[in-house]
Amino acid sequence: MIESFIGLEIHIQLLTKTKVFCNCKNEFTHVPNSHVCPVCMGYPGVLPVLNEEAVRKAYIVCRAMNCHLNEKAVFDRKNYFYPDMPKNYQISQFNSPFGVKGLIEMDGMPKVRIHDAHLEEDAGKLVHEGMTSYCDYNRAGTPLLEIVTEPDFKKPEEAELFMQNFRKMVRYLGVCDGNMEEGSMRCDVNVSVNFEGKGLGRKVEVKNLNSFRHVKLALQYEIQRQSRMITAGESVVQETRLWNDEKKRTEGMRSKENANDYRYFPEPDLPPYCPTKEFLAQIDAAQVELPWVRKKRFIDEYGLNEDGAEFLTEEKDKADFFENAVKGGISVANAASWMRGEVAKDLNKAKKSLCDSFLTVEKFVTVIKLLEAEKINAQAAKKVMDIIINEDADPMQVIEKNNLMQTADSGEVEAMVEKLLAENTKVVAQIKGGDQKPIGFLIGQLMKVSGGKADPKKARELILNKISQLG
Amino acid sequence: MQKDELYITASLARLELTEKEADTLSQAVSQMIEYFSMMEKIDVTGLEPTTHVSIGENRVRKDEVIESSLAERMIEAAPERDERFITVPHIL
Repeated sequence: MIESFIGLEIHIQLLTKTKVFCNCKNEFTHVPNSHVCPVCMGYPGVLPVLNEEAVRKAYIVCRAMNCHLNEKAVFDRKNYFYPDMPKNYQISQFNSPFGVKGLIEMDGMPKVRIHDAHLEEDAGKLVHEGMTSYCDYNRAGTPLLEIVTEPDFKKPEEAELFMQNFRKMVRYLGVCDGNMEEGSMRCDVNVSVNFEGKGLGRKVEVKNLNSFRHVKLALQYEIQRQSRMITAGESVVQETRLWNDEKKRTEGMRSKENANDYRYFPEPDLPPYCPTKEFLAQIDAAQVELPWVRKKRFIDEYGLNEDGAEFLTEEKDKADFFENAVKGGISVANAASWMRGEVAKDLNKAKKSLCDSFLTVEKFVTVIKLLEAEKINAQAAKKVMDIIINEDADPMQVIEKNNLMQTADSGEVEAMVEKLLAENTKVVAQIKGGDQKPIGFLIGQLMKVSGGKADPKKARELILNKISQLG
Repeated sequence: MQKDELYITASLARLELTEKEADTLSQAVSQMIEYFSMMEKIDVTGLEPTTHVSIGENRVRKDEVIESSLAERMIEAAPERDERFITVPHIL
């Protein structure tokens, strides 16, 4: 039997207004080389100064991963020559990063140990075309947090699931938008295989993975490739490979000898960072219930099924919305089914997310309460929901304006039914003869003439009563 | 220092050395390394490594944008460019 060992290196771009060591804007723009200054371009005589917001967000992540926080974090220079970094070194943290020895526990997954989380500056972006590389330094010096896990995953699916949950986590914490296609969250994997019981094999690093699917596919491919090699008695070469998504395979990367000698040394321009008690109290206060913990609680506490809990905890604002709606006094079943059904459908149609639509918890609760009290029917509720999602409108006014209140005057509806039966004698005869099918037709007609005000649940009963009264 | 080691170090620092320079440098670097080995012999048990001399308050700044006027001048000063991109030969 062959065992595999997978570790992840996740990079997240922190959501700050400025770069990590200078006041340049941290913003994606199509105008190349517009957010640059002497500090991030490494001009002589400049002094980098640490961005406090980048520090805060980095610690929030470290804390959420239960890391030990070093009393004194030190920045180091990682020296390398490549045109994506005009300084010829990257400021990173090597010997004493912000967080070390963390642990993440999720259901259905082995415990994942975090080796460390360190803050560094991102490199510029190079576009290669033919024999030329085009350099854009807008991204150079933007804050990047790298999280390194221990090789605790055994299967590609576990790594994929972990990444999905990790993405939700950084979005819950509000530190990163988690967009893998745009590169604000990136992932490299380390993978090795060995005969069972022999421990870690010789590891291969795979880069260029910009979706969860690529992570899984690349790992599956590598595990197969390496397993075949060791089974045939060959030895795996320790190297860095790239995922080729067109050919669905990993490929060896040309690299120079000695290229990995980064000659780290403490960054003389930046003093060490020592988190104070007050600062750490702020970091604790910024913690939130993590998505996988919340999902489990939704299942236990609200009796939701797996799919429902998954949907409702996808985003923090969605989960908050659900819980506030339930607190507002509507049933769990209605809150969940309306959020998953009609609201999701309308939002999708309007291409909006919950937080940038006009829908508020209060409005949602108002509509569902009227529905639960049978003041409006489901059809009317759907109509109101659609309007209050797309317009800044008051649900009560929408109901009045569209005359959607279910008529309390049963005499009015009875009169409508009588009229309907008189107009449809053939159908009535059919029903009397024992054929129940045309009742649906009559209910539909009733809803139409009543303008949706009749209660379809009661309509059936009413129609049958009236028919039997006809004798 | 052996000359082949010196050449590796030089290539990491992107320095091209002539034979003569390599001769002089390998002697000079050897002296430096000797000096370090002298220091290495000093007993430092119980001493914390000093990475920086000024250890006081944390030095951080507010997350506020200050635009720099460097961009246009930098692009203009680039030896090779294509519109706003700085261009270099494709390596690796």
